[in-house]
Amino acid sequence: MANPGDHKPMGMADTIGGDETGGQAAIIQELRDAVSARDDFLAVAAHELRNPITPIRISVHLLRLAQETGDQARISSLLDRLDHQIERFISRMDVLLDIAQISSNQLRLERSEVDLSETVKRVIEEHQPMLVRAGSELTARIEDSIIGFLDAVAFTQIVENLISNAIKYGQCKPIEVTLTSARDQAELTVCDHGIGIGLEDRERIFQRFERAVQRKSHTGFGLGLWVSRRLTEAMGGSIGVIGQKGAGSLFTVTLPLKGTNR
Amino acid sequence: MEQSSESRPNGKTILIVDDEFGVLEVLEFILSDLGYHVVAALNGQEALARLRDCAPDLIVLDLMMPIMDGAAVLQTMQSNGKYSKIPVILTSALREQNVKERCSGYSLFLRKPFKTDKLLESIQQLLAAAPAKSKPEQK
Ligand SMILES: Nc1ncnc2c1ncn2[C@@H]1O[C@H](COP(=O)(O)OP(=O)(O)OP(=O)(O)O)[C@@H](O)[C@H]1O
Ligand SMILES: [Mg+2]
Repeated sequence: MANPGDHKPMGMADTIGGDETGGQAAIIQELRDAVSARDDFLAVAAHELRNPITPIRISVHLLRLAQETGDQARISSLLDRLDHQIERFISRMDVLLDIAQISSNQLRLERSEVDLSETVKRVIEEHQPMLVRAGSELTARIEDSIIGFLDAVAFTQIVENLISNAIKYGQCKPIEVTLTSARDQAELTVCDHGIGIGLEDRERIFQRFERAVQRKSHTGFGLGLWVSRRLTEAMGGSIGVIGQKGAGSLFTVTLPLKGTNR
Repeated sequence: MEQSSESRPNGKTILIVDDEFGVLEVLEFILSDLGYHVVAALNGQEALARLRDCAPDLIVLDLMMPIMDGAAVLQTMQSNGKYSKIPVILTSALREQNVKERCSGYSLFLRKPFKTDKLLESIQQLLAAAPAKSKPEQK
């Protein structure tokens, strides 16, 4: 599989040389699919831009009310919350920037010594409120002080994507996260016991805009795994999933700790 | 944290369903502050489970959610006499015309990000207009 994550018309040249009419039909179909994937994405992006503004708008309303009563303590706690909501909105929007960069091959890694163990712990900590809300219990087995020469932002993003997916598709069941290292490689696993992924979807979900579940019921860009795979591979590692429909998923990321770009 | 039932407007229970954590958080905050009893669910599947055990007086339902979306929740509710009369405020970032193509059976649609006043007003109106619950009111 030369290029699992890509809709760009790379493979098309091969088809042109082949059987004329069959080849043309295939190209037309491919272009149609690409256009429709793009249109779908625009719709999703518009949705994803409006949706997270909802809590921000409600917070502004609450702040107005608090301002009338002059309750300073309440105002300051509401402001904290608003700040947090804006933070979340920004990180969501940053995904769009990543996409643009990855698509135009302008992804630049900034490698430094990263404490992977601390990073994973921190991301789990940040997801606590969501875990509590979902009623999912997360158990982590994290080897101490695994240091890698990697891009800190990219690694954080991969962990975030996998954990947020485990919560989103985990059906409130327990989640297990492990981080181990052996022979200059780190291995991160995120395991949930939710809806799972059918064999036929295992490659597809890593593609751009792709989802295993029916398109109209989703939320999110459908890009988290595509970005994660691109970032993992850019750092010389690999990402994959096993599991069964209805029986949960196990995502595994392997990364070389000594920094070799692909 | 729990308010006494006297301070709740008629002890009404509102079920809020949204996969956006921030929306749940803030709606829960504002509605329980107003004295409603609030139950939250992160997707349609969870909403149906909560529907069974909390008998809400009104539902604020998001449309696009993973695992089970709002349209499927509405469909299930309509096919069950016990739930078909519960008022539902459907919310989505989509335009109403697109929403209409996907589902029916809701009382009112609010496009996200909605104005808080509008939501609160709608809740009051729908609750005032709703028929009394069939099961005897306890407490
Ligand atoms: N843990 C999981 N269990 C079951 N299905 C999953 C899991 N993680 C991902 N999927 C499937 O893979 C699809 C792609 O996931 P991906 O993270 O790329 O996008 P998304 O979660 O839909 O949106 P976002 O861009 O906001 O992350 C999902 O829509 C879902 O169908
Ligand atoms: Mg995701």
